[in-house]
Amino acid sequence: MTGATGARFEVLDEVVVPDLWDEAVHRAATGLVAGPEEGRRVVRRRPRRLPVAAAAAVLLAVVAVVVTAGDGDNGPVASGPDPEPAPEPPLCVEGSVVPASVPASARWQVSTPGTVTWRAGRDDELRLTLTVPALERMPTADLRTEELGGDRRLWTGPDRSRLFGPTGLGGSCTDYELLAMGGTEAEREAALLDAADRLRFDPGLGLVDCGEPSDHVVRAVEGDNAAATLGSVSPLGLSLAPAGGAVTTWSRLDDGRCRLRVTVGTGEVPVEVVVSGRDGRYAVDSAIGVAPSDADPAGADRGRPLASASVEQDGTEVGLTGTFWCDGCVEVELHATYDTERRGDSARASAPGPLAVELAPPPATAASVVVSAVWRDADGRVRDLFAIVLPVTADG
Amino acid sequence: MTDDGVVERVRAVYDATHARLWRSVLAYGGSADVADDAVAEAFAQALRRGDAVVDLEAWVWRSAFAIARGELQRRRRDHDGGEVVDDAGRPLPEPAFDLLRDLQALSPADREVLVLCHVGGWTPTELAAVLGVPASTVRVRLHRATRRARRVLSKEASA
Repeated sequence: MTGATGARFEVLDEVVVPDLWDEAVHRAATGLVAGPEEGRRVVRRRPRRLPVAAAAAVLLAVVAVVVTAGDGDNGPVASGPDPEPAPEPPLCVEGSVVPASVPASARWQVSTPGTVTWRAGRDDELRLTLTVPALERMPTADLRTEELGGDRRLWTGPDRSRLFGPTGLGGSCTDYELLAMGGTEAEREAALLDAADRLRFDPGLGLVDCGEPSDHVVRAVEGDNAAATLGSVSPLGLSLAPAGGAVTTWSRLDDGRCRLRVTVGTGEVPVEVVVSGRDGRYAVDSAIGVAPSDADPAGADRGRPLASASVEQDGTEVGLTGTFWCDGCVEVELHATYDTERRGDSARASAPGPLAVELAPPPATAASVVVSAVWRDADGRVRDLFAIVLPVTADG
Repeated sequence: MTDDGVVERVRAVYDATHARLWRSVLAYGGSADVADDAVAEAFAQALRRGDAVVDLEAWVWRSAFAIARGELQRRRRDHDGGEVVDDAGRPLPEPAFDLLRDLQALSPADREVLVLCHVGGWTPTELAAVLGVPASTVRVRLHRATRRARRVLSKEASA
């Protein structure tokens, strides 16, 4: 192909690749989405001109982690968290962490279970994650374990450290887990102890605060948290941002979370989102809706998504790809409409395969494209549906 | 949902592909943090979906890039854009850092197809199957991206 261009990429062979299997299993088991760069800050670092010896040390350390994690056929799965997710992740409705006991910059990434992530350390080189409740697990052989007193335990490994402690809350929320990644072992330990000392839990503080029904609630589910848990509905990386929408109904579910029905700017059938969180920081736990006008979201299966799909946008082309089929589905429709006006297109398929629509160039006022897909069975009933709103991109 | 068979199957794909995938996403996004998250989340999603995913490797690649793409879009929206290389506190070798910085001069679409071919090792035909687009489309995109990349990348290639 292109010798010179291709040759430039060979330098990437020298980049040490982290072992992310543990993290993937953890997320799969808990439904947790930690999210990249928790503060979502753009870091502009100068190139680090490390001496070769230092770079080699880092390389060896990471290789050691990979080798350790790779022991045995199943690697960390054998001793890590149970990969079988609980049918219903426990919610800490018995209480929650007092907001003031975590840094103000902390982000609620997902709330089932309650999880907060923030940066720590001198140069924010550490990533701390608080999870309530702690996950049951056995320490792996590469971890050094230490009893700290006060029912607190510290596990230190080559690339991450964990501190477990009691919350004082009841029910399923009796303990917490603080995870530190990055930095040195000593830095992680210091940060964990510091964070643990500051943590306060309040039994009277509910995790969920639905707030009052108002147009502003929609705004609250936009932004960083909104995309965090869309993975339960569709592949991630796509943000749900029903900008300009209005809440039409809201209700509190038995587990304490809130279900909102909102209409989006296009005036289509409402989006239904289940959110949790509080203090204006909400996470979308599930989203369903923006069906075509003849679809009834009430008829959709509210269990786990039947169909999985990947929606991609390339210029004005919006595509639905992936294993977007489900048992009993006989067709899928894809709709894409600009947010500011009813300009869009749709496509329909009756067999698995890529499906795409080519939109006209966006109106000057358009900021996003509302994309929805609906799967139907032979009786015309909606089996699954979802919607996302993608920003209009200039890149082709 | 996640039985042993699924875990083994996903693990096999992970062992076979995660290094290439991570480096590809790193080159695409210029961010080790985004690469960490996208790759971990793609495999987590694969574990959760179990046997519903037929072509696991293609699905993981597509999902990881979709996740990275979304995150990068958010960053562009939230910040002023520009040249950004984020090593997430894990120092990168200098030539790799320079490459990531140079790649930022290309559009995301150009970077994606270049990276998938040159780092991911996919041929245009294979890539077409992964992306679900015609092979001819991939070839056209690759040709155009390569032409634009030559200006950006060749100055270092001979060094």
